[in-house]
Amino acid sequence: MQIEKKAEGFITGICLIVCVWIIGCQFLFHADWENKRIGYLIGSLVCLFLLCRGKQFLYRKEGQIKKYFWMILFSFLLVYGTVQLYIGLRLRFEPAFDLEAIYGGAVEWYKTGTFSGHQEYFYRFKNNLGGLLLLYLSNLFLGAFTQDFFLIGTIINCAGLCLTFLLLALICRELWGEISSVICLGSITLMLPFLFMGATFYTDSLSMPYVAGSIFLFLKMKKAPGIKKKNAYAAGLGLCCTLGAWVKGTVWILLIAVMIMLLLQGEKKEILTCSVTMLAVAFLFNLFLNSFFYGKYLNDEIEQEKKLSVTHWIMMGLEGEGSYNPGDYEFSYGIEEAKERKEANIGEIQNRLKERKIMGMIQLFASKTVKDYGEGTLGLSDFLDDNPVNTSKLHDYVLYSGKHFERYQNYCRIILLTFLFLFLYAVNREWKAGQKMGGWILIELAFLGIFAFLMIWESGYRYVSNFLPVIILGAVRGVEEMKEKQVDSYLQKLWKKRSVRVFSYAILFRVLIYVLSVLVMAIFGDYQEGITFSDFLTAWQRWDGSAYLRIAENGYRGYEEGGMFLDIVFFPLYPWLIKAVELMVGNYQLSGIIVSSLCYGIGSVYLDRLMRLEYGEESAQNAALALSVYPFSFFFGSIMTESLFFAIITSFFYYLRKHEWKKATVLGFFACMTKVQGMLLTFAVVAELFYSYQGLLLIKQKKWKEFRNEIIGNGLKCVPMVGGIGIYLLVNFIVEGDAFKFLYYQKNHWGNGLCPIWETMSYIGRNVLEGWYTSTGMSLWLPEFVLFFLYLIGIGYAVKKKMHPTYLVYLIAFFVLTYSSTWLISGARYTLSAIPLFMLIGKYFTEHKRVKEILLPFSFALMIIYMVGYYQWKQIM
Amino acid sequence: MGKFDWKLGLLMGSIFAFVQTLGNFVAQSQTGYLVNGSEDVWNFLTSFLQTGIWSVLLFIFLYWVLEKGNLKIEEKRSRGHFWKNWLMLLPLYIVCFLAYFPGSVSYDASYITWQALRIIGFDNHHPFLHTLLWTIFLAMEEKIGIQYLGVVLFTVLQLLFMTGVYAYILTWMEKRVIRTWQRTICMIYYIFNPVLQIFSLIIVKDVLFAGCFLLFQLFLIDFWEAFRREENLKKPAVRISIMALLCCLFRNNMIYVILVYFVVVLVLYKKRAIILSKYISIAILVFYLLTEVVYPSVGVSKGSIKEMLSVPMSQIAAVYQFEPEKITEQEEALIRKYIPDVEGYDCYFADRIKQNFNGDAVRENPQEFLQLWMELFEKSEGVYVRAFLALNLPYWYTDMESVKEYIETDNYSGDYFIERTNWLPGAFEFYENVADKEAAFMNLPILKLLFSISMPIWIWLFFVLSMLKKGQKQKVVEILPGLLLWMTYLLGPVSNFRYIAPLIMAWPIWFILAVSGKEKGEGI
Repeated sequence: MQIEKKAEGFITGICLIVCVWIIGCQFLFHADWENKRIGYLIGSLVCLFLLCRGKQFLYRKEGQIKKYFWMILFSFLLVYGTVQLYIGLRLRFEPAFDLEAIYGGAVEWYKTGTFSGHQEYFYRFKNNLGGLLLLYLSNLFLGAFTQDFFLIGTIINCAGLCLTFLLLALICRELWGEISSVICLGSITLMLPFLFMGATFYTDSLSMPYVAGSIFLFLKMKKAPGIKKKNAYAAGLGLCCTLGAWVKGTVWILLIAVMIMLLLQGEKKEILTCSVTMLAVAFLFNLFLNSFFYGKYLNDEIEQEKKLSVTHWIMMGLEGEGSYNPGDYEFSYGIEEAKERKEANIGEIQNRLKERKIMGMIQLFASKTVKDYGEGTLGLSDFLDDNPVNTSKLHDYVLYSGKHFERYQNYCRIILLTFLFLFLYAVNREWKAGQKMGGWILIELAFLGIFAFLMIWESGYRYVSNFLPVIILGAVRGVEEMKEKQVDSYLQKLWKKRSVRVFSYAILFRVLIYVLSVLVMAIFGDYQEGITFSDFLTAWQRWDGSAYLRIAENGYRGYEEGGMFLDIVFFPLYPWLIKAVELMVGNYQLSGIIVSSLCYGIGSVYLDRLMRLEYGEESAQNAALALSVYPFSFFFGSIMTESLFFAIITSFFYYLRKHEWKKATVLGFFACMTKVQGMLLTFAVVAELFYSYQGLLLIKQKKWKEFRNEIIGNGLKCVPMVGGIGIYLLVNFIVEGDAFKFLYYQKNHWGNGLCPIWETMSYIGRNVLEGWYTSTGMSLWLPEFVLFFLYLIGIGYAVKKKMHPTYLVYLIAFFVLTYSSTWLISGARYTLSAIPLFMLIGKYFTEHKRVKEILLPFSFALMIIYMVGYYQWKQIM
Repeated sequence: MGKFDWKLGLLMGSIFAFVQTLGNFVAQSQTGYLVNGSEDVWNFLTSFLQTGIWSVLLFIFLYWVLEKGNLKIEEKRSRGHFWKNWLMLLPLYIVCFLAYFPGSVSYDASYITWQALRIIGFDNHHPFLHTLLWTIFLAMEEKIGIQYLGVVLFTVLQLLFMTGVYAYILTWMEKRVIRTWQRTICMIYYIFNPVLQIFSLIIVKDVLFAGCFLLFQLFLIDFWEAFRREENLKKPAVRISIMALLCCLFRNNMIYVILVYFVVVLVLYKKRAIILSKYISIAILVFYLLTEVVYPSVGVSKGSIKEMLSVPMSQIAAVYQFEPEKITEQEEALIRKYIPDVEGYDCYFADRIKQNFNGDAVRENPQEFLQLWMELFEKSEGVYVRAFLALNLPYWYTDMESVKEYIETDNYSGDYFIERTNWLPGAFEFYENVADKEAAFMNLPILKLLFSISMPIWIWLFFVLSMLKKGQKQKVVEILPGLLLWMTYLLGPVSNFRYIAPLIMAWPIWFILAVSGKEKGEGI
């Protein structure tokens, strides 16, 4: 038994490698997945989460599910089958090419008693005779009721699919219990192409019941008591495999897999008798079908001359990306003699192998894997777009040319990817498990078999379709296994953490604002062609945002005006983060949005911690609310440095207050690389040191040793934070050869320099008085004018409430620096970095609840108005 | 001397003799192949036996010496004297500096000086961090207006850094319980070795890299010792991470060493040493962020792909030279497309064909180049093997000298011209003799071997076998980066002293590690 166990371990190991290969190829080599990889990954994770949650729900209802299992199962099949039939008929089309051959042949056979009009095709493609026979038999039985043969084909296909689903549910029940059966039904529901498959009654779907049936019969055979019963099931298995293989040759894989399973897991007697029975039935039935067709309808000799040998498909699988290739058909058809044709095919195979060499073959396998497993729609549109009879919204989704096809495609890819992930997880669990699960190895063998076949054969989107039941079984086990990991309890524990909740709410709020922004775009924009994702992203890239994206994409030297690299005035950390995220998501704008949103989430977490540290939980909530609905807080979601700086300074203050000097220094360093205001944090450090260690008192009492240890010592630990500015100066030096070039450009190009605060207020006040009623006045000057007084009130309130000097010093410094600009045009946005101000507002709201109830909605309304203005390119920057 | 030592010497001597004989055949080959008939096989065997006898005897003796110095238990002494060591090191290094005053702008410097003077744009062909430092010092000189200030300050900084590193190593040794003669040998090695003195002042990236590499090596040992003693591992892991990053930023090939080392640690130790894997992965991540995000944003372009293709291009050119009859017209056209200077093939120096190598064409269609390389490999495997071995021959064959100057002390930059003051003519003459490998002591029998650039790998192997014999497998993991770094050089365009210098400087560390006793919990 040791060898058998090792063999099973080996199979699982190979299966694990194949799973990793399949998923890895999609992510690394699927050209169509470019820029979508992260989206697919996130989508897949969401699906995994939902499946897991769904399973938890089902386990809570375990008793009821067991009680009503059969009712649930048959209700599902009834409803699903009906919907499938309805959709199949809505998607009615005129069968063409191969489907036409089996469909038209069956109709002809039914009407004339022969399919002579299609004989030529079946001489070439003997492999489709099973499909022809199946449709003919359907016509024969249902022809008495209707002469709509498309309807008959759809009915029989839907019935076959429902039978497949029934068998899958029963297999799951057999292996893992009723809950898994229901999960299996849920998985089937998620796989939308099943729903649209009714009309595509080609061999891919027609052979599906045989794949599921073979697995089911094997399980029954294993479980059956007594050798007689086992042999009966073995005979059924032989019959099922043979019938299925006549419909689609790949079903033979199951027969081989079952034989291997018998060798691995069977008793000697069982191996011998069951194998003989199974093979004998398969042989006899094969013989019967051969004699049926070649005795009456086809000529064996002509077939031998005309048929395309398997070598033809293998040859085709070695050309280009291994998919359908008309040139190869011409090549094979061009040779009259069957023997010569086969030899020519073999010769060509050898040539192609020689040309490709090992590396070329690996590349080919990667391309084939991408093609075979990378398209969740299963290529149904190959059939459905052959002269559709109707046009409907459904067609917009399921046809390649449909305007919403991409959405449908993305969804299907995510689902298939999710199933593959789950399969991988299940195989991994099996790999780690000491005791191997009986029937599971058969599923792995089937999975490996179809993979090996597809690597040799011609590749195509739909070629894996009839083995989807195998993948679904793996996925169900994956979901089932998740129970042991207690994902749910982990998530619950995670959710109990306040930080996680705050982060999630913050991100949710940002998503809400993004949704609102789409409304704004639709109402105020002019998008005749519809709003695309790219339009949405571009809308958040206004003013300085473009510069940050330019730096991320082309560097500081990417934009030049008269020999001047003007982008050098922008600090580097934010564009570097955009670039880093872009390497993963493949889109600079999206990357900017992701960085901003995540930073906002992180900033919210630290603001919450900071507020709880200083003023308690209620004030923390109020501060978060006040900041989130501040009229210019929509900038947190835009491609600007605000959210990054917010995240950095809140965490900086938090660690500074907790005297975690190393962390505070690192954060201060980053702050200095984000905005010039980062330098102001040094004042906060000094204030914290003097206040916490009573620096002035130490000087007064001449306690120099304590002063040196506590204040100088800890202060020195924080000195490296100004290195952030050093990095920025270094960037200036590298790009322009002058570490202070940004000051020159600020002054001479942007007209921005330092001036006394009263001068700033003077021109702001003048502009307000002269034009408060204009767009610029209301968008730019009035907010800055009002904010000036808000700052003053805030500082006064801070003094009154004895706010910790660390914040107060920063707030005053920030206020002075902001309002000491010769050309202040973004003061309202900059205020988002005046975090102590919002901390004070949070505290104030706690003490004045009525004011809060009035001001918060008012502020939110203002935010929406200003956001609309931002979208309209008003002077909100 | 025990029985096992004799076997160890036999093993080491046999490997050494075999490889040296092979090297001799590579060097003597006129046909592009190593063996051209049964006569060559016979010659190989006789040559191997001749070399083998002497080398086996030599290594048996060396292992005997090592065995005598071995300690049974490893302990730690409390303190060392860093400042004292540094002060002992400085005088001779300062003499060397004065002899070469104001400095020595070495081989790569002409290219990086163009960048520093903004004649051409920045790139990462030579590590940008080094170029940036040079740029800053030249800018300081320009700003302050004192001639040679840049080169003097840079050299002084480099000299202080390198002597500081040596002092740190000596202090590290002081903290270990080793025999006095062992420590004395190491001290003499660092203080009086003129090669190290010259190497600490030439302006080339390899110097700072060597310093960082030594610290990296040392910190790795500290980490694994802390690991065995079950001490707190965070601090040593952080130090390794920082040094790994700096090493990668001073030499582009170091990232491959770190990547492989990361995998080795992960595979051998899995979760047990996860903290090291974590911090090394941070270094790798930061390195890629710097080179893929930060560098492009400030206008630093990537190095050419041709730097990675020295071996394949040499192999293709070798087939072109030795077996042109096997090349089809189509292949010849492709060879000329990629290697316009294919006729200039020099089996020991790829730069001659690399200079005008068409890297852009490879970037556009890598598969075509790969296919050409594979096709010619199928036709002339033997030539490929010999071409590969010849390119890195001086790295493992003791009788082969590098085609490059031993230490490149000349001033190579025409745009930053330096006139030496010649303050100490006698010392200058002595050091120049050393730099040209013409000093008498460098050509004495046996001692001569120590100045061969092939020695680092043999000394590494010598110590590794000794460690394995003592069952100290983990120590092999500690000094593994030395081997990995050497392996990356095998793929380089030429064999050169300054590439291998970090390993030469690491000999005392390996030596001390090899003679240290076995610790509790040692073993993978």
